[in-house]
Amino acid sequence: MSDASAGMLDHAPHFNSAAHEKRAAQMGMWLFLVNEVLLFAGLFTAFFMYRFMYTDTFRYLAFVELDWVMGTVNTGVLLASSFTVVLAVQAARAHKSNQVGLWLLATIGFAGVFLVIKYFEYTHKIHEGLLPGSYFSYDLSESIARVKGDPVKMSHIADANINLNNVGNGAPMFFTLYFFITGLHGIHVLIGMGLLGWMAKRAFNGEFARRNDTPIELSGMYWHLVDLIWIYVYPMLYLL
Amino acid sequence: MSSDTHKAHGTGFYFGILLALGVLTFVTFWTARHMETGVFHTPLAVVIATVKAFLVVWFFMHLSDHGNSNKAFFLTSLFFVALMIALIIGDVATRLPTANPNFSAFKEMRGPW
Amino acid sequence: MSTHTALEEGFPAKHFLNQGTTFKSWATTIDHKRIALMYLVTVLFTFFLGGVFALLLRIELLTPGPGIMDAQSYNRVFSLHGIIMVFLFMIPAVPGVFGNFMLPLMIGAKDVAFPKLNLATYYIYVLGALFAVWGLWNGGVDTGWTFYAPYSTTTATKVVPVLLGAFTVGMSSILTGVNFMTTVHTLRAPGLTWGKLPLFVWAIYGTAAVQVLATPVIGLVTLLVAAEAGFGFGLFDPARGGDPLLMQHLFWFYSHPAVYIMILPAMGVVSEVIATFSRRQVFGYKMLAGSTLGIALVGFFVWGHHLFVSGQSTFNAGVFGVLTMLVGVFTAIKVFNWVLTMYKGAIDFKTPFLYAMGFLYFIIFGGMTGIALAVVSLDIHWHDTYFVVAHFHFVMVGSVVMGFLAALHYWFPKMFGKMYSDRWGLAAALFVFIGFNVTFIPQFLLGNMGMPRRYYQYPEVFRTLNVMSTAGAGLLGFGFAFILIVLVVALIKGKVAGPNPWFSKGYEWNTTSPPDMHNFHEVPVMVDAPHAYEKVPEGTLAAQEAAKTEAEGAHHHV
Repeated sequence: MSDASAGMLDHAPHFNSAAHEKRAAQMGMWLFLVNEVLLFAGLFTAFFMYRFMYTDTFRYLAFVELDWVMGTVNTGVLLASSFTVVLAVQAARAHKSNQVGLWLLATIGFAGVFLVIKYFEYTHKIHEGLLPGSYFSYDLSESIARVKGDPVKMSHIADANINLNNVGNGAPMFFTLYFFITGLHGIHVLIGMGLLGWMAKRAFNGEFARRNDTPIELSGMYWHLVDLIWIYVYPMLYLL
Repeated sequence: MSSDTHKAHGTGFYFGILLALGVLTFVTFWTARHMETGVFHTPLAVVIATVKAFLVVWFFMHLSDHGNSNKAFFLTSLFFVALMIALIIGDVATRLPTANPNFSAFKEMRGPW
Repeated sequence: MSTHTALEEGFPAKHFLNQGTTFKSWATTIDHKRIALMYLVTVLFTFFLGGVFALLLRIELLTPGPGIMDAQSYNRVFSLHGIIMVFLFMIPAVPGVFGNFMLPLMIGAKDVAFPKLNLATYYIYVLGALFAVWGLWNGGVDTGWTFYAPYSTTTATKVVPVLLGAFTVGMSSILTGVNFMTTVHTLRAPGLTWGKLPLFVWAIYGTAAVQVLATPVIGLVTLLVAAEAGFGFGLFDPARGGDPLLMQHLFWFYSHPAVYIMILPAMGVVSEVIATFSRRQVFGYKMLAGSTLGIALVGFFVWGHHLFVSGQSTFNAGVFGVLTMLVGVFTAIKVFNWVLTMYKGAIDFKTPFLYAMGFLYFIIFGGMTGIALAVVSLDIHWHDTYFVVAHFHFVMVGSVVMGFLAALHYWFPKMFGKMYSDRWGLAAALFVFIGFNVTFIPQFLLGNMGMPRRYYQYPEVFRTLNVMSTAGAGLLGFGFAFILIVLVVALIKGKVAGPNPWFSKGYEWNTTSPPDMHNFHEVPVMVDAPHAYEKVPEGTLAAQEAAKTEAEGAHHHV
């Protein structure tokens, strides 16, 4: 079989066929994503551990100090970006290279929106002093007093069974984890944007008009993972 | 030829998945914030997130036609995430309370946090 | 299997070593065999470096009082020794060198699945090693290789570059795992089903799975600790509501499975060596393969036994203690099957076989003391004493290095096409074996007497045993130098080995020594089970070799 394929260089010589090579590439990517999942798992563990220790503080901060509107909008933005990546993969399978590039640009656009929203969230937190560890300079007691004066918020707090007397212990830890988790996720968004940008450039050069959709598919898988992590981060940080 | 063994889903199908994901995002928000779910508060959010994750992995990432080994790999990773969280939280939950940094007797000694 | 022309006896004119001899042809090679040799040179260097630090430690401990260094230097030297040996030698050693070289040969592939990635992992490893060594050179660290917070986040020494080095080496390890797992899944030769995989391939596969699943967690830990050391976010700082035990949990979630990253490939080597030199089909192939995966899996459930005295819950400690013993069950399965493979075999006592026997001895002794340490009440007495040091040196140094040396001696003729002197090889192996015992048996006794680890001074009562231990270390160092000389002499003027000097049935021997650039001249078809010494189809090359072996065996008996 090696003789038959020696002339055509649509795959590396140690594979039998292009399909064989693609199967290997997909498997390698899945294994890489398994490693990414475990990378985030450590941070999730840390979050759940400290949430277990400082339950009321963590829930209070998620309810009062995090902006659920921004979190939810960002969830929608990332879901939409996943959708456009799927369409890019679809276009690559149909060998429509320009379309691939356009869908990837749309994805990068959504990723940009995500980061802009994140930027507003971060600047707000930094401005308020809602920062990790020793950098935490926010007056929690004032925040609690403000909430106590707001009957709508108080009814939410009461519904959620948050004991305001326990709030305080562990507040800087919440923001340590908030910044670590969203920061590591944000780095992945940036890497993903770079990757998709590179793919878009290749797409506009017409590289995917030939039978070569593997790079798009793999970058797409990476981008979906970024979305996947956020699907867990969103309820964990903003809702629970 | 053999690389295209995937089922040919159309744009409409993927849009349907996107809509489902949007609806589930709303459901997770509503159940977490505006419903009395008691002890199911956290498990429910985890279950909904997992359903969303399944939709993304199975259809968007095409795991449905990527072969059984890949499915096994991904499931394995989830198993180890669960293992890590369970055994570490299990330690904190069953530890001598004074060994935990949130032990209330230390509250005064530590200051504002 | 009709390519007997390729297997001309003797030294092939063209092989992977002489296809391009420039520096560039090596530095940019994507040939798995050349990358393996680059790994070999690098890990031998890191092993030398770590060994020198070990000798310095032993020289310091020759006398009860301060000797050649002060307390702070001692802390740095034992940290250097640990970090170099664990991250830069043991983790990449067997997979990087022999996994790389043998895995494609054993499954009849032309290369690993991602050859460019393979080269990249080598350079990432070197980059990480340079990071670490730079940090170690410029101030070093005094935390030990475990980097426990909050000490590691407050010490003035250079933890950040060393942690980033460990992170980078970890990345290399993950990508190697991804590469090897994909290779085993997708590049097996026609006829090579999962049930026919050589046991070394199973071992590399189990190792790769652990690398992919566990290593990202240490990557995260190193980043978190580095961030803590740099900025003081308080994640592991009790004064800020953090829990140092979280760091230990996450650290050992990787670092305990990591000891199986070290030992599993060594176990795979021993399976191959014992089958080859007993001339017997492995006993309990399925059990050996299954227990490899069993150890890889169970290795993830046991990390808490490092935290018995750290303030972990007693409930968790009990659970982890019981689970730890499961590793003993799987290891015992392996040991019994190895012994039964030798039973009634025609044992050919060559150098690799002696190392395999050494491995068996060290894994039984080291493993049994490990079971004892898994008992919480006993561990409280032995924790942080030389008993623990001796235990993990028996397993990690004794067993892993024995496995590494067995592999080196077993596959040396395949890799270089030359044969070393078996007599001198055996002599060197004896030095190493005796050296290990003289070094570490006194440390078991010292630990049991209560000598704590990581101190540069000790009371007078411990003197005799410490002197013995240092003498053993000297013997050990001499043994390694001896091996190096024997092998270098063999490289220069060794006899031509021929394609299969051990008359092994392993698939990797079906090609020339050294192998061709593309491994095989024709895609091999795997018909026999691996290590099939009893049922050999007639007319095959294997049958000729079996006849030859038989004739030789008969000759020896006369």
